[in-house]
Amino acid sequence: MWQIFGILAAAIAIIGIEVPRLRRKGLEKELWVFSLLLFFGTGLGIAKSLNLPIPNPLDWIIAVYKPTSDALTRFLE
Amino acid sequence: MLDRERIAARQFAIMTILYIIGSAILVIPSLLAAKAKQDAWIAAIAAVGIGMAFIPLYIALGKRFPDKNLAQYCEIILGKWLGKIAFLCFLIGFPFLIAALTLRNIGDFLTIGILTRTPIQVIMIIVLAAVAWGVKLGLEPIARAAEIFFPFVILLLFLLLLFVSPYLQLKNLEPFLENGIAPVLKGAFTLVSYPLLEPVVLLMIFPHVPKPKEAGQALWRGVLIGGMILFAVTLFSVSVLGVDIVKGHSFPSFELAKKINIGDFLQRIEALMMFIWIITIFFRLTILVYVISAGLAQTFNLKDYRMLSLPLCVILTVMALVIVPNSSYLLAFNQKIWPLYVYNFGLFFPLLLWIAGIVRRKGKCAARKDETG
Repeated sequence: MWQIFGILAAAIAIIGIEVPRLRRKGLEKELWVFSLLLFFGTGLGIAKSLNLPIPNPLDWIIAVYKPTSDALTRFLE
Repeated sequence: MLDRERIAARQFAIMTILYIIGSAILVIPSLLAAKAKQDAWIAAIAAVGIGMAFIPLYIALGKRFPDKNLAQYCEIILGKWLGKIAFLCFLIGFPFLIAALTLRNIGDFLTIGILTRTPIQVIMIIVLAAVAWGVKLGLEPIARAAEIFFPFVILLLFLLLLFVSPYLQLKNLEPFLENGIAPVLKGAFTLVSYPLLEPVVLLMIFPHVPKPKEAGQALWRGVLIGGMILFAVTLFSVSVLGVDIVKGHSFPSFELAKKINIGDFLQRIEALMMFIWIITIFFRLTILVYVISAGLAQTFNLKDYRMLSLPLCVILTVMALVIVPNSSYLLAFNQKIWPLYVYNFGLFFPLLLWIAGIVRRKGKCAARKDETG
């Protein structure tokens, strides 16, 4: 539970650091991209702290490259 | 980027060196020894030779678009939307992945090496806080910081190698080429894939050096010096520790530092030597996070990139934890998958851009007629 609080506190701190400056300068689109990234990151962090299954992109890369890698290893050995 | 940040060629060379040494200095001796055994040092030389062969491609791209970064000429060459999509794939598939792996590396290193009872998340967050702040300050301060820290890194590296030199045992390097040239080449390609094919991300910084010619020379120098340092560390690790210890440890150069013993008096100064690894990995991460932030900003046509560094670091922390479930998974990935995967973005992507640039007559040759690009 405290992990989620920590993540939210960090997110709020990051908002506190960046958002006032962005709003003052009127950088709308920048604010959107920033918010999306932060929302995604916070969501990922909370999902991780709840031990929800997060897909591992390395698994996909391995799935794609394993046949080639195995064939190459057999060929070289 | 709309605001032109300028860095000197010298700073670019230093950043390249720090980027190349990065986390590789920790793990490369072990990865090389796993394949090439006692000939790891030959593999390191061969790898630097092979790695240098890719640099003309990067420089050719950089010179073709002297005032544009990789993200910008991706859009010019491939067209606006295809360029943006291709670059986004590159960004997620290469710098972002490398950053997450590097972060994981320093986390593993510090938790296994000295801070054994500290949760890895804490270390990652502390490192990333510094990295995010560096990127928030911008490219010029990063370059200046690199210039300031670089002499200390070199001095400590020199001292490290000097202090362990009494333990050099050339018999650890024998028998020479025991199993022929094949294992050496296999080892060499490990080092080529990590980190010698990675300077492609530096093409995001390349245009910030005012003169492309100097930037090209800086890239050559940086990769060469970085590669030579990796070679020296590999040579010393294998000849001091012996190939079995190097193979068996994840971080052999740290074991090397533990060997330091000056007159039975000055011992266990590896924590001091840790400065080397922390600084090089810090700059590697900072450069990567800069590249991702600036690349994203360019892709979405933002006026600034600095505010993206903090949220990016939040994502990076989680990804560094997610992508490596355990160390044997990482080892298998590093040895089997990464050496193939890296060619996608390290070689084929810039090669494709370069050829497409020539075919579609984009860049410097056409620049005079078509200034707006």
